[in-house]
This record gives sequence, structure tokens and C-alpha cells, in this order.
Amino acid sequence: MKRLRGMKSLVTDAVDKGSQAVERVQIETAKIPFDLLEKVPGIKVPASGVRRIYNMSVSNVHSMIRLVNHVAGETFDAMVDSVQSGLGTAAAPPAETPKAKTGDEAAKEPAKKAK
Amino acid sequence: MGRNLELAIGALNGAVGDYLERTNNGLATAMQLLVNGKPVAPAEASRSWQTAPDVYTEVPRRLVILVHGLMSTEDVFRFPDGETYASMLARDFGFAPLELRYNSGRRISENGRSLDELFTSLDQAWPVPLDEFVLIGHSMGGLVIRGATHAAAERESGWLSKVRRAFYLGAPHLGAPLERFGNAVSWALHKVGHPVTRLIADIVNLRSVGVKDLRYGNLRREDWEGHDADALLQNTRHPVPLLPHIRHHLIVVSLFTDVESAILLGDALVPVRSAAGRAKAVDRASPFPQEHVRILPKMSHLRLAHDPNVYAQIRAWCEEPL
Repeated sequence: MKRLRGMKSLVTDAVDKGSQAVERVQIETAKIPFDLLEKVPGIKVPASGVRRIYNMSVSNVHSMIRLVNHVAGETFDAMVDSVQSGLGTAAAPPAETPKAKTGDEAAKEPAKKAK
Repeated sequence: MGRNLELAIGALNGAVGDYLERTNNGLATAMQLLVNGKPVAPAEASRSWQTAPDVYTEVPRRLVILVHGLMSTEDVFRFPDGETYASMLARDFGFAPLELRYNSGRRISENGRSLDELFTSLDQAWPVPLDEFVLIGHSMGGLVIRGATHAAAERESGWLSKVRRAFYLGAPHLGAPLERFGNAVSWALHKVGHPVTRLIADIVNLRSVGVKDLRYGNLRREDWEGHDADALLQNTRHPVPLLPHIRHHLIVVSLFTDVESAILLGDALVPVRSAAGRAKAVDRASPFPQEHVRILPKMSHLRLAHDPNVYAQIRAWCEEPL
């Protein structure tokens, strides 16, 4: 179970960090043409508007990927928890109900202690 | 399935083991001793002698410990019939055979310190006073052994005086060119400055600090502390003197039979000069005496961990009086 959780953490970390890195690359790569377009008189305003929309949509897509990744990770943890608690219950010995003492046994006990 | 899983986890630890340890990931391998492939606590390790009751009549006082290399496990030492150099030495000389498993993505110096602590516990927990520790390290395992003996010398650990023979099988004492190549490529990709090449460089630089230690064969904490691990080809080593009471035996392999290729390329992962410890001043490392160096041609780096010719050489060296 420890290793299973470890594998999950590794995958969710990889998706999370990978998504951040790709988001950064997509925004940085698009920066070059947008910078050029914004220098052309007449299309500066629409170009910067498109850049804002582009950056926002890239960020939203990656935020969504990270959110789904996070939720999937939490769901997996909950599943592992429930399986583990199920196994724990199955493995635990049945709770012993204290045996009612008969009158004779109860009477003998103080005598045992005295010995 | 179990064996393959352990191999995969060993490889993963070698690749990103420092990250796994830092994030407390359940896949990080803790350093542990094994007997016949089963992890045991130092206090229980003495039962290894019980695995061959026909070999021992009493608890052995001499141990042989196998230390695997980067991205592998103790399984690398196993012959097809399940024997290892340790089990064969147990049969031939009465050593108690032990194996070590560890996270090969950690710093070599940190693994060395952990190994020093583990051997101290083992020495104290063994039911009879121990006479000898024989250490056999394959590839990075050889450097971990040197890291452990250095840590033990600094801390004056009692087990160190019991080490008289150490065997290094293809250990990159002067570093590995493949890691230096990786360092140069990632540095160049970063310098290009394009977002995509920077991303590739960042991915390449995710490799563990254990791998990065192999660039020049770092053994000590001072070799890396305070230095940028991704700086271009900076040898920041501090020499580690060879301990005079230990006889160092080095087995070097080459994929080639002609001398030039053998010297230049070695086994394709570790060149002959590095595995034979032929250090020059520029290497910032202690040179190994060459009288106990054996070069075996036409053999791969991995084969070195389980080959009858290699065992024959180890055995011959063990037969020599100290």
C-alpha cells in the first residue's frame, strides 16, 4: 500500500509539474510572434487582446488538468484508505466479549489473590 | 512479478531516488541488509549462516557483503543458478554472505554514511566478535564502499579495522564520461535559451544527485556541498586517501580486445583508466596501486557482477595471504 501510494504521488507530481512546465513553454513560445505583432501599427490593440485570450485559455486548460489530476489523486487515496480499512477490519481478531463469571468463579477470585 | 517490481523500483530509485527521499515517497528504498534476497535487520543478519548448515559448524566470524551499483538491486549479482559471489565465497571460505540494497539516487557520501552506521550496528549485533568484513562493490557500489570507509575513518567506527580486502568491480573511481556528456548536453540546451530546449534541459537535470556524483566520482560531502550540481564540468572533488590496512582489488572489463579501444571506451560505461583508478593530478583523486588490477576483455559492465572468470579472480585474491 505504501508503494501504491508512492506510485500515485509520483504520477500526480509528474502530471502537475509537467503541466506547469508545458504551460510555461506554450506561453513563452507564443510570446515571440505576439511581441512582433504588437509592434505593427494598426494591429497592436487586437494583437494584445488575442495574446490575453491565448494566455488565459492556456492557463485555464492547464489549471483544469491540474485540478482533475488533484481530484483523481484524492479519489485514489480515498479508495486505498477504504481498501486498507477493509483489510484491517478483516484481519483484526473478533472483539472478545468478556465472559460472564459464574457465582463460583467470582467467589474463588479473592481467594486466588490471597494466595 | 515481484522480482521485476523490485528491479523497476531499483531503477526508479537510481533515476530520481533523491526526489523520492525528499518527498517521503513510499517508493524510496531504505538501506537494508539482505540474506538470500530477504531484508533482515542487523540483529537478525547472523542467521545467514543458518542458510548453509553444511558449510558452517559455528557462527562465522567473517562476512562478505555485496553492494550493487546505480539503478540496480542485489539481483545484479545473481548467476542463473541463483548463486552470487558472496554465496560462493561462503562455500569456499566460510564467509557469511550478505547483500545490501539501497537508494542509488542519493548522494554517494550520504549512502556511505548510512552504510557506516549499518555496519556499526551489524558489528555490534553479531553474536560473536567479527574478524573480517570483505566488501565487494559493483560500479557505483564500489564508490559507496569507499564513501563508507571514509565516513568510518572520520567517525573512528570499529568495523573499519576489520576490513582487509575490498573488491571494486568496474567502479568509476575517476567518474563516468556518459554523465559528463549528459551534463554538457543539458548545459548547452539551457544556454540556447529557447523555451523548448530549456524544458528538455530541465527534464535531463531531473536525474538524481547519485547519477550526478558519477560525473567525477564524488565521495565526500565537501565534493558537492555548496556547488551547483548542474554547472558545466566542474570537478570539485577532494582526494580521499586509500586506507593502508585495506588491500584494494580492482577488476576492470572492456568490450574490446584491442588495447586502444579498451583504454578509450572500456565497457562503454566506465573507461579502463577510471575503473583501474589510474588517477592523475587533474583528477583530484588518489591513485590506486596497480598490482591488484585485473583487466578482463570482451565483457560488459553488467556481466561483471556475475561471471565465473570474475569469481575465479576474486577467489584467487582471497587465497593470497594478507
